[in-house]
Amino acid sequence: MITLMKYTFKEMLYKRALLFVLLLTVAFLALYGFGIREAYKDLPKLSTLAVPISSEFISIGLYFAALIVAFLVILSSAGALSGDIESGVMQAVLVKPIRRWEVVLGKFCGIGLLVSSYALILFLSILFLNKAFGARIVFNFTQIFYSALLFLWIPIILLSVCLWGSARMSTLGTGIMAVMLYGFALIGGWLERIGYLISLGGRSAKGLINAGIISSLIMPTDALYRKMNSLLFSSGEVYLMRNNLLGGGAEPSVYMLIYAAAYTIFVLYMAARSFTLRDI
Amino acid sequence: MVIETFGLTKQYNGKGGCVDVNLSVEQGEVFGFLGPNGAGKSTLVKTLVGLLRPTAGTARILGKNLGDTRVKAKIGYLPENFRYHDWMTGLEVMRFHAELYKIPRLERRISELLELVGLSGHEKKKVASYSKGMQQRLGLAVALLADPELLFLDEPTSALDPVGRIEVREIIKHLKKKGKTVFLNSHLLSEVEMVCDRVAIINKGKIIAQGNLQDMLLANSHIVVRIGTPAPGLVDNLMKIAKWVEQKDDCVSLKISKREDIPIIAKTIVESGTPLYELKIEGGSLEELFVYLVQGGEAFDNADEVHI
Repeated sequence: MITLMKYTFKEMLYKRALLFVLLLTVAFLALYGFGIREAYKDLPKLSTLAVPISSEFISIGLYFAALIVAFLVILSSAGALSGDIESGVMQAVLVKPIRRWEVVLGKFCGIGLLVSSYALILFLSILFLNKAFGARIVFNFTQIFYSALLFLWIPIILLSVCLWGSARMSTLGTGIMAVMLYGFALIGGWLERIGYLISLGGRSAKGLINAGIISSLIMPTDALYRKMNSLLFSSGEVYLMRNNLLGGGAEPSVYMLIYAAAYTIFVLYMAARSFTLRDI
Repeated sequence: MVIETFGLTKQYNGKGGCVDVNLSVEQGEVFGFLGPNGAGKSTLVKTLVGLLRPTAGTARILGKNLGDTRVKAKIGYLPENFRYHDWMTGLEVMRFHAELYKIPRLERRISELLELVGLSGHEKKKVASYSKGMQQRLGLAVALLADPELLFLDEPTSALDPVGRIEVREIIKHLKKKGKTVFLNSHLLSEVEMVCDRVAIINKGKIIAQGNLQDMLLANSHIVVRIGTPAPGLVDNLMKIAKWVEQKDDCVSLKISKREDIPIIAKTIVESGTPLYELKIEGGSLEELFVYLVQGGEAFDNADEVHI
């Protein structure tokens, strides 16, 4: 399994797609950095305004970063198994004294390690740029640590889903499925937050909120993003981003985190099972 | 037995593949598996190496059930549609597969094999730049990495030039001398004829003949002897040994069922006092046999003997 993980990691480094993503990331960070530097020049002095505005800027950056990471993980893992099967490479690998679940786990660890490293750098870069250009918000280590973990969990869930798809379907089919599920979770999250904002006005928006909850159960990535937001932008009992459309709304409960953990493990188990039963 | 299959069947939605295959391959044999395109050869090999799950029947490889991880450490496999990670160099491909086999002192083993398959000097080039023949050589080196007890070669020379084919043939003969078992899947009949001890022929998913190659060829041939004036009773005696005898002038044609009958025929002629000038086998090329069987020649097999 270690061998497969090592070579999967190396393969990712060799892929031109990664270099392309890295270049685009640098471009994004440069543009984002320029934008927030200009914006922070006009930041109000009053902290009751400056802190929420700083939070908004950071949240916007992290929202887009999560999108980039999601697409990187989909692009790099949709063909992790099916691509090797389609090209014929897998035939020579699977006749070696390894179990098929080890192949799945090796791919998971190899891609997961690289994507997590990338996501962590991106996450910290966004926080650093904001702090460097004058964000009026203070984070403690625990906040950064746990919110970073949640931020990294999003691509890990997507990776598990892509591996399950890749173990059963073609690369194209897996890619389409993963993008649709991720988009489904995003839209569901938006519906839930709109419902939440409507309910703040005293009106019932149960339908919208339930639609969001169902979408989180189908793909919990947006719930994790909201939980990350609540951890990062909460100070005591005050949640600064509650009314934010990108990551606000009701804070996902600990049960949603337990569900997301069980979801990740179950999907990864199904990936290993499907791959074990698949004719190559 | 190194390979034993019991009614092994692998079909795709009830179609194609191979059906009710009963084979046995002994240790140290080079076993040829023949059949026309689409007959089910690769399906059987892929089922035996654990890439496909059988739909019925069972098989044992080196005494273990199909897919046993311990057995996989002792087998080598060169797939028909060989492809290796094209972003790696030849050397990296070898290291990757050697690590999967957990081979100790792998650098030495790798350089030996690259030398053997004629890829020395090319090992630092990217696989993407390899010709098809070079990739097939690399595939053969990968298949030999673990010094396997059982080697599955699925069309191992399909991309090779004549020199490469001879080299592969020599490698197979060398492996046989070392007591290794080779399961050779091929439709290159001359190749099979030169290296195989026993063969099985598959057509439309079913085994239509199997047995000792020489016996099979003999069964599809006849013996012609040129003799002087036959002693009285000679032809009657020959008829007791052969299936049929036909005399025309000084030539007698005989159809026999096994190789061991040839010296008996010679002895019978000589002991009758009839001068024996010539004894030769006519017909019986593998190509003739193959075409005859695939085109519907009457055949059945009992694993050891072949009747055509």
